[in-house]
Amino acid sequence: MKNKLTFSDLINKIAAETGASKKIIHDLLKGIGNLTKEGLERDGRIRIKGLGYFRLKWARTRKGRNPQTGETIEITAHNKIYFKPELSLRRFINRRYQDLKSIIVTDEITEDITPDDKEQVLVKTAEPESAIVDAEHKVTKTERISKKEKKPLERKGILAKVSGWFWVLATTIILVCVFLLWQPWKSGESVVEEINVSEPEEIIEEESRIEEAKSQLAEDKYVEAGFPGDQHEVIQRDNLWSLSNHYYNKSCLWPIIFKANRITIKHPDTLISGIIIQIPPLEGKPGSLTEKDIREIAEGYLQVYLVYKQTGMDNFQYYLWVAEHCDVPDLIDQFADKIDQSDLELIADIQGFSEIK
Amino acid sequence: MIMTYSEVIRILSIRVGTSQFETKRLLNSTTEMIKKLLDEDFGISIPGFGSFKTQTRPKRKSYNPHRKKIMIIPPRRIVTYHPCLTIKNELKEKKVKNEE
Repeated sequence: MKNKLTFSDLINKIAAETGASKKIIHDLLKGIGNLTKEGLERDGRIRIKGLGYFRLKWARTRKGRNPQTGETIEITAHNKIYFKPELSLRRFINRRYQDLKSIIVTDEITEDITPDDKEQVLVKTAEPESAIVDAEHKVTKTERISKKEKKPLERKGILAKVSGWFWVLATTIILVCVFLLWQPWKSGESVVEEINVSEPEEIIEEESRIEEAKSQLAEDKYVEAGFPGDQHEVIQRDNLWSLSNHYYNKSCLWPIIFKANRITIKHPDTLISGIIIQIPPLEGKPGSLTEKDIREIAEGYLQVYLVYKQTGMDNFQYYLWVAEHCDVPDLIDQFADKIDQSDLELIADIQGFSEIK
Repeated sequence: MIMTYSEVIRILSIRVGTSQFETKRLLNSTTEMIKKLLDEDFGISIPGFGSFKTQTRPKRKSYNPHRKKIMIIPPRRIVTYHPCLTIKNELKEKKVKNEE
């Protein structure tokens, strides 16, 4: 919540819109409040059309704690007032998120391994040979891994838990045996064989870990497919065209992003990695744009035209042509002082995109 | 019996002192205005009634027990209502008959 509105402001606004006197509106608002109270008192529920449903709910006596001192107190039974906004109100407020649907994340494990863990796994895989030398070190590492695996296992059930613990125990026992056997015969041939036996298992495990980590990284990129209205941190190889395709499923809407981030992005062809840009939400869907969206797009194309013209790019008239063909009234007049008349005359003769190219 | 819309209009028109048709129009535009203000992130408080405001729930990951999969749930906005103290205290002790 950004702003607060006083009661008198609210009355003034409504009175200005309806043309009724302030006293009537004041009485009406007070009347709604009183009526709600009476309705709740009489029936336990009431509906105010346009706002929603108010309902009383009986909360039984329960024990609670004083959050400051920590002593237990008895909270006596009382009524709670519940409010559920109407469907029309909910839809109106959420209209910018209306076409977003929940996405399924295919793998469960991706949820529980944080980026830090991934780095640890990757570091471990980077030097597998040196790690074999000190067995003690490894035991601690396996323990650490077992801790990571606990979280997803809790969901799967007891069977998975037992098998998980079995593997952890088996690997630790093997490692401890190798460590104990190694000391008595310092140059024993049999020991060398055992170490050789144990090596491939470790490597296979670690290879599978690498694959897991890679697949997780790939999935995370898919998961990060955000919603319009988010912020995006620019990484290497990002460009406005691909970002627009990523967020709106339509590449040609990229001038919207450029227009929204006019301060941070100086030139649409160069994005500095590390800066954070806003992805503006659309009012309609990318397939069926509203008038406001089309206006935004047209303004975006005009901005691109102006920037390209300043920097002396080829075919900069194309963007003016697109802006003009969006059929937004007054747009060309609004920017008339910035647009060259010669460019307008040039694009007036052109029928299609191919002639400019 | 829950109070019907026509009953609400009738009672309000008597209290405000306008015709039922006029009251309907005023009530309609009042709720429309509240809707519009809530959409613009204004907090509205009406004395003797309570306060309304909007909150944004950000997108989150959550476990769907039916499909047994983790899903990303898109962001949404909700409207919250806090009753004012007078209403709250008056209704505190009362036991309503046809409560569910």
